Amino acid sequence: MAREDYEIVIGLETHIELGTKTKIFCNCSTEFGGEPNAHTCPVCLALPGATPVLNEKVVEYAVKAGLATNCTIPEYTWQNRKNYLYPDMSPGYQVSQTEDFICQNGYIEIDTENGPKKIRIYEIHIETDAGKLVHGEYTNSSLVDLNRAGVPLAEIVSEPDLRSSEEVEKYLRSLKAIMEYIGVSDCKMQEGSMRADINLSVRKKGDPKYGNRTEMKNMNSFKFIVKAIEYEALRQIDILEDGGEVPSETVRWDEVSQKTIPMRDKDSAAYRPFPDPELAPIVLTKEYVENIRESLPELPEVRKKRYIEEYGLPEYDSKVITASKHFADLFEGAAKICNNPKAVSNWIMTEIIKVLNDQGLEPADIPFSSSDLGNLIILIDNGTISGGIGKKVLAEMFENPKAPEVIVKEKGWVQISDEGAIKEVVLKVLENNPQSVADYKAGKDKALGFLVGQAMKETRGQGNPGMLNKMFLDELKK
Amino acid sequence: MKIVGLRNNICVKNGKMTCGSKMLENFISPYNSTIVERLNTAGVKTENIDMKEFGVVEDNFIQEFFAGNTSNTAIMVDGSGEIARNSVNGLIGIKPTFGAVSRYGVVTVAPSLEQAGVISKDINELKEVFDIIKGYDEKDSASVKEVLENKQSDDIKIGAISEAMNLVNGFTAQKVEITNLKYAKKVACMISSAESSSNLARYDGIKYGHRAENTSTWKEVYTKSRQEGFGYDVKKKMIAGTFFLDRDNMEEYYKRAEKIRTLIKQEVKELFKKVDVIAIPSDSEYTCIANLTGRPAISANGVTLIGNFFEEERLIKLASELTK
Repeated sequence: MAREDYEIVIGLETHIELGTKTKIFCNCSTEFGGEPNAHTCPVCLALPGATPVLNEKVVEYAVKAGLATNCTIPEYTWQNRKNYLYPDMSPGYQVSQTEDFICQNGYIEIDTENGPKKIRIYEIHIETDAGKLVHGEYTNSSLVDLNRAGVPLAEIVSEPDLRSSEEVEKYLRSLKAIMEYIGVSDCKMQEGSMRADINLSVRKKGDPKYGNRTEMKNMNSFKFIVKAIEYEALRQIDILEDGGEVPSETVRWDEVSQKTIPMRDKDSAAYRPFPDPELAPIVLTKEYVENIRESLPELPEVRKKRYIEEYGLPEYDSKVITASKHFADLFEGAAKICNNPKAVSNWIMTEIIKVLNDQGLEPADIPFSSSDLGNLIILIDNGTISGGIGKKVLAEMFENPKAPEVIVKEKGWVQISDEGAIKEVVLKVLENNPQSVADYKAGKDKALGFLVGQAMKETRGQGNPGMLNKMFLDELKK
Repeated sequence: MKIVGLRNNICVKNGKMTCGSKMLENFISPYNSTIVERLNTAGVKTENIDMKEFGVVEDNFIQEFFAGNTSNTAIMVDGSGEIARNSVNGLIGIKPTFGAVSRYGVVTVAPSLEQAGVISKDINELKEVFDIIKGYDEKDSASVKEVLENKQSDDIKIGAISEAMNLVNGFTAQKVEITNLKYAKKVACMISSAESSSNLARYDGIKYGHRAENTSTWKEVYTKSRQEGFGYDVKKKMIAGTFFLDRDNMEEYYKRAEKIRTLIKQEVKELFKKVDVIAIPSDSEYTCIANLTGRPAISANGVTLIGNFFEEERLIKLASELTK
């Protein structure tokens, strides 16, 4: 049988760090970084007698995440201890949920070649992050940093509804956009605030039974996820084609060898989960849930449609822009100011995305406001600067954020639109380039472009290109 | 009252807190329990009372403390009726409602059962100390902001299990029956063992406490430190608890125990529709009913009266009549 005869079946467990200011059971900061163990207290250090108190924001954020992904919220839930010993897990157990989860049975939609597809979400639950071990500072010992211990996480568990690496990427990007929109997580993969465990199996097309699955843990890059899925699917198909059986195990993607490697796994059924006797049950009244539902902001899908209708954006533009809340907010704010939505979307989709990619930044890192972008476009639209200068101003806005009009003024980049000044330049260029004048008059239209280019050089890019063009034509006709 | 005794499993900042265990033999608490914070605010000093390892084995240190005559009152943790059993020789003890006194800074083995309470030679001082340490604490999940006051008539209806009928002489009492009473001690024991297996996991030799020497892996640090640091009874309890929570035994042991606990809670709740307190003998194995249900209990003259949630004041009043 050929590889095309197989279907890949994928379910994801996506961990996102909830963006609360403080940890799940104490008032320690959740800030990234910091001196080792600076963000700790008796509770997250698990000192004798220190009792946890659930941060209400964690519950609120989880319920928001659930409602934004069409989940049902039960009236009553609780937290279980999953018992296991490891030096980064200070109390000797992780507080998590293993049944009657805080969010149940939801879904999100992704775009596929065959139209929109629902990816079901089995459950979302809240749990604690662990600290980390630092190896190699001293010989023969490792150090424990508990700054991350007790940082709240939400784990979003999908049903095995995904069928390809493209679908997985779309699902994760969509989840990321939703979480950003509702403000519960910044989902920064490189900082580890979003990571996914990938459960993958293959089966012959049409086979109703799932195959044995492997789990790839802690994937935190779209690039690696796509590569790992493709490798792992082929590996499993090869095993089946050779008449073998895929072992159900945990594997690790190794970027160096570009392979998945089996790893030892903790037996998750051995966690002995039981309700944390130090924590009170969580009661979620209908009123509480409905208040949160009403407070939910507009979600990406809705905003995409609105931008098409309200701002006349092409569907593709609207999709790219609403895929990130930061882009969408930037777009809408700027469009309101300059009243030129198509120009705003062009600037975001070409120049801004280019700068972000070149510098390896995320939309969240854009250092200027939407009104700055709007004002930049106004400066171009009203002829104060040319589009070319506009790009230089934008680069400066990234480099050294200031209002565009201030940058233009400080740098002396105002476009020259004074007829007398333009004429002076045109005459000078004509005088210095007799050959090009002759070429033009001999019918070589290209020569005009050269002359305009020389004039732009002369004005250091600040000449009004429309005026220069017209003035050259007028003069050459003489 | 200027000084109260304090069991060595309640944190005093910069104070040595061993919980009677080698595991914490050199542990100095870097923080105060809420109990100690409140005592400090009220200008009350504390004096240490030793204990046997994590309270898993009962001891006579409370009796020795009172015999020593330095103070009239002590604060101790009760997980299965220890306060009742110590309320002898004229002592009166109260195990408050679960969460009535903050658990922050109180070392627990079985958090769902344990609660710090007060034991005293003098009922007025008992009330005084209880009033200082009780009340809402944002650092304890079980703490309650507002307590709904029940209408309390002076006419108290006493219920007594048959073994306690002769202990409430002089009072009108009706006999009550708790059908699941015979399981109470076993259930409490199973639950506390299960919780201990998780609650004592933090003592690993990594962060603080006893750490074994000559270890080469983190696993060895754990196993050797715990092997050396914990005594026989604590180990036995944790191993039993691990067994009760094991996936193959969970249904039959831990979950079953929790189900019976729920039945006992329901049964007791029903009884409280007819009576205001339930009397049981202080030296019986039934005192853990107060821990299983989270209800307050006062003990004096060999009898323990279990009351309604947050009705400690009523219990104290009743006890003062009982001790007249």
